[in-house]
Amino acid sequence: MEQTPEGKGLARPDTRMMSRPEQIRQAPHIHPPVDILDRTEEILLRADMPGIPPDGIDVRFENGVLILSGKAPEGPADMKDDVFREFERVDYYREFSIGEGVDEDKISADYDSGVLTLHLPKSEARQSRRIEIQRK
Amino acid sequence: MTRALWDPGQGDTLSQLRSAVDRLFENVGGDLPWTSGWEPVAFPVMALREDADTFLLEAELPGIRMNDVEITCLDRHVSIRGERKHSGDPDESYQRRERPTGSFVRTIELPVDVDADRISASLEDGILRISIPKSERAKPRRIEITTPSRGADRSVVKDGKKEVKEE
Repeated sequence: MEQTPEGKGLARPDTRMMSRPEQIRQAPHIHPPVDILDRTEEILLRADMPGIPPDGIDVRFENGVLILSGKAPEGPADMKDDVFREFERVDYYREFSIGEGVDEDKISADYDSGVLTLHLPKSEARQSRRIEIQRK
Repeated sequence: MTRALWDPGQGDTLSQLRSAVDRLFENVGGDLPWTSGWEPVAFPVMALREDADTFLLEAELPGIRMNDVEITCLDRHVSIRGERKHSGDPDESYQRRERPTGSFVRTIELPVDVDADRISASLEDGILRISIPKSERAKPRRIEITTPSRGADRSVVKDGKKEVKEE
């Protein structure tokens, strides 16, 4: 059985950041929405993080925890006033517990058009194998 | 799925904008849409700013190419429409699926006339920025204050009758 990359239940907000004191962060931030695909050879993760320049994206893998963060650029220099606003320039932050079985040395990431894509290759032992059946 | 935030109908446009934004906040139980849960209230989320000459309409469109989005302007109505395609095979095994997909359209009504011929747009890092110049007639202008010549009649209305005051 495959292990869920994020430990506690599916499709529920990750509240661990509120319950773990060491994760309290000063700056306001939002959790980017993600798609996680479980493929045969890899786990593919896509996160919507619009408005972050590529050098503001940071991906870390520490002690089995995958941390995605994005630093919003400074506010606009122009003198325009808000008429209305539904989104803010804020930082992104989200973390996932990754079970064993990901080859962490081979994790790769790219950021394009505001979407962060992560490839998390499964280690050899975790891939399901087709067993050849010998005919007699 | 098509989501229209509000109908550009009659009434004061600016208060319409505000009440629409207020409704947006109500819909998510008082939380701001960008901090609450996973379901976006509308796609794309937008921000409208202005200075004396120009409106700047911004929309978050992560994963969308310029070819996948269409911007139209009719009178004061600016529409953004497009489609966010599925990023993979829909039959694949998703462990999480939080990113919205499908077609979208949003229209806003600007409070003043604009110069539709000079609208320009750019898309960078998933943020669409549409620069919408205000029409010359809509820009604020300085009004010269003239001093009335001395000795002119001044009329006042009193008890329904028009009286003429002599200087």
